[in-house]
Amino acid sequence: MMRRGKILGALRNSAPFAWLRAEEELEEEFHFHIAMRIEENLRIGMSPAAAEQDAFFRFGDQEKLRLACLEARSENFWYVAFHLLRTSLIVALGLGSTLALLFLVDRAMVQPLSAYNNPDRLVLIFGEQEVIGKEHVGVSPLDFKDWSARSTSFSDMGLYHYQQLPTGEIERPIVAMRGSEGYFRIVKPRPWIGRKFSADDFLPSASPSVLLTYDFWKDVYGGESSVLGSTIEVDGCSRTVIGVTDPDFQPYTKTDILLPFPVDFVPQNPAARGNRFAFVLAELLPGISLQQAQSELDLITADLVARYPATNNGYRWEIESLQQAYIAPLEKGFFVLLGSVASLLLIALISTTRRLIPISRQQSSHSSVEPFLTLLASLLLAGLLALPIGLYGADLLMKTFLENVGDAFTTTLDMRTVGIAAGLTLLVGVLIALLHRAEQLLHSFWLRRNRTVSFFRYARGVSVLQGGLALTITVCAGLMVGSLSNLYDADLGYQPEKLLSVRVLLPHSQYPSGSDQANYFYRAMLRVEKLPGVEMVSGSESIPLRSSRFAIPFTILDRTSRQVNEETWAEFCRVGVDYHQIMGVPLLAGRYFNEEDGGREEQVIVINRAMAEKFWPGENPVGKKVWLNHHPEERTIVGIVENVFYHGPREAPLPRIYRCYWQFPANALTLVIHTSGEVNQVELAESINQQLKQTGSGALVGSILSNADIRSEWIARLYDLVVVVCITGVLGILIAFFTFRRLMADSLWDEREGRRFLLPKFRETLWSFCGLLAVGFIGAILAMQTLDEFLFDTSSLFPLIYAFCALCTLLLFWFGGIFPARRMVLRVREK
Amino acid sequence: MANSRVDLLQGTLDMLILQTLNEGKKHGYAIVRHIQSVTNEVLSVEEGSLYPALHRMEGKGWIVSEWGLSENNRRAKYYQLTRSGSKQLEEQVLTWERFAEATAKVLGLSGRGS
Repeated sequence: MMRRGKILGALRNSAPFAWLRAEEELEEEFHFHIAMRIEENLRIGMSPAAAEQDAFFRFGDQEKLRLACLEARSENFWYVAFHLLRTSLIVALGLGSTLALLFLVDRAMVQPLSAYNNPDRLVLIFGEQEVIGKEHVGVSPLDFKDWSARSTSFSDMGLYHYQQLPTGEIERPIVAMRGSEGYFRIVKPRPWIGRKFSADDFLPSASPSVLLTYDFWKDVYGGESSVLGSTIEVDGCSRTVIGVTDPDFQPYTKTDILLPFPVDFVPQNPAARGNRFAFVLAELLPGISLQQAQSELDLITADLVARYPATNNGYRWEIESLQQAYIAPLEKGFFVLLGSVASLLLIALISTTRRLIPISRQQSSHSSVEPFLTLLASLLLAGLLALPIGLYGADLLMKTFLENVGDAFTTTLDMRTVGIAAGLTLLVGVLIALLHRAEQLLHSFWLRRNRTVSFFRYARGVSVLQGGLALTITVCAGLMVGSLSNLYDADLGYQPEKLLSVRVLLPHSQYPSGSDQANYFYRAMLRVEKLPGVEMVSGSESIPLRSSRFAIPFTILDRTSRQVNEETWAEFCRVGVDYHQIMGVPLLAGRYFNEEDGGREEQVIVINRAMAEKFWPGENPVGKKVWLNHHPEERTIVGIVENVFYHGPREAPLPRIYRCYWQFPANALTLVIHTSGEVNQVELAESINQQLKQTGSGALVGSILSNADIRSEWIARLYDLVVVVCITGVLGILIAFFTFRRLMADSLWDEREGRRFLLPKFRETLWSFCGLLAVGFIGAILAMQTLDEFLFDTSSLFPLIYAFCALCTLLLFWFGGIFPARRMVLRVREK
Repeated sequence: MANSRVDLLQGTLDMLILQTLNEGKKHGYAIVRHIQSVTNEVLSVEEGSLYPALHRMEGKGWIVSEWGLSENNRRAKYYQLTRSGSKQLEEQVLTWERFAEATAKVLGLSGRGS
């Protein structure tokens, strides 16, 4: 203990820390002086408040004088270095977070759009379907052909869609984008090597070709140009590599390969009109507005509905500018982040303005450290520190807000990012200078009117605002943490215990028919079921929290009045026998699928409670018959199961149709495995993987995930956001604390015998705390409205979280600032 | 009153402090009060600006400091003139006299009031 004390003492006396002791002594010396002046003022009959104002005013700017004294003692180097670093760090935190948002906007919105020739004239056309929550749904190639033939608003139109496809060479499905000739005319991917698609590549007779994206070429082929002219197998078809796209070409979704889509040769099959899987990119003619194009599209749509009611009834088509489409995914959480980051920057600016350039009527003639140079040096350092924070933050935000881009967009250190950082740093510098100037003007204004108390009140108010903002961010962070916990534990309508899942994709080349695919999965399930520790196995096209939004139209047959109706849509997925039992989804009426359904002539479906209540209110739908997806083939409802929250607990379950996989096989299935719970999951996962690969060659087996893995993966995006907000909140509180501490310590210092100062000081402190709590409360309430998208079931948590955060803040401010000041006063009294 | 106050000439603060300390050891506030009372508060000095000057002079060895108890039983830092400080004071007073005499001559004030 003694030794530790000696080491600490030696450390405090060493050059880098000697100023700490010197600063403490100066503090005491200054306060002694001010206290003596206050006493004298009181003696000559001044009121306590006036005595205090006069004393502080006569003494001058303590910050500036402290620096001048330390300089006179030749101890200012480390003092300046420390303060420079501290202020730079504070500015860097605010600056870095703002930079992260700017990089995000630049990388995800500005740069991709700059790849197009006329980004302001580009639009997306997509369908809207009420039943699946107005999400963008696809367009069928036949509708597209009609629009492009009849529309006069567009100079060009292209159709495109994304697919995950198996290849013979890579152990994962690759992301392919198929685009029509018109699409590639608009997008114009420049070839890095080789050539781009020509008109001949879109003919049905053309030899199958493929363009590789730059990243895919680098990753898989090591950037070898010998890949040109070679063939790669994509979904069972050999395609010749004709080129590699420019590194700057980055479609909105991370893409590995580009394929031609010969849309002009799609057969005119009436049922194919209902096959909506693609999206339209179009270029408006100059001078044509979105509204004009939409009106024309509405007319064509009405005509198509009249001509093809079976497939086109119930759909709406919308035009959206490409710029708007890029912004849309950001909108949800972007403003939350913007709010917290702007608050942090504001807190940082308030704190640093007075530290960097002390407010005073005159500059110290002794100080060689000019405020302007200090500001410049601090900004330079802050800019350098902010750059890595911004780059890391931007990548984090992209993963959070742009889930579909994966790692397609990464922000790198280049001239552009440095330019943005330099620009923002300069702007912050100007802001600091303006804030400083404004404070100086206020100070002089009040001095001229002999109202120094107004400036003290203003300074206190700013500190209160700072603390309140910081408290707001902290409460938001607390609510988001509570939300995360609620989301993780939320009841999704099934029993998640002891479940494992694994997605398996079969290449069409090796498993061309439904019976081949069903045969593979049947044998795979038998093999997996025999493994020790496995109790039951089934499968589903989609599982909760990993479900894509896929809906199909259906027609209720026994009620002519509702045979074709715009609301007759439902989400759809194929599931194996025992799927619902394994998942623990309760049966409400009828029966689950059973072994006999696979070989049964009669096509059967199971529906969920939401569908039963929406379309057969007060009736029992078991035994009712429907058509699915416009196929005039009857499907009988054999059971009703409880709702499952496939898209998370925040979204009410939509009507859902389950079909028996064995009646309608597909090449992709997620196996759902119920284990005994007493096995080593890692070893079991390895055995399952082996069995699936041994069942048949070419099967692409995904990662084996437990329910906990899926839930963690699902909340991971939110988790990142919560971490960012938590860090912002804590930093905000700490920055605000340092300003608040000095303010409070100054005001409490002269509390002493006679108790004349005791009451007003406590009252002021109390008001400051009340103000802080009020600002924090109002801010938190407003933020809660904005954060609605990110919060789940937290309204009951709010009072608790607010009280906790407020208490922590007050304790920190009390024990960190006011309590030490009081102790100092008591120490003086004792002496 | 405000209009009758004059700012200190550059460099004179050191001399005033040394002269004040020539009368005995004092803390910062006492030095300020002494200057203000002797000059009838004519000299306008921002009270805090005394401290950089005190610390600079301490660094040069003209004065030394020690912590003690003030008249109202508070801990205060007292400054005291050193031998080198006394010599410095003599030099500064001499310089000031020469400066004042020369300035008075230029202004034609040398015979007035003497």
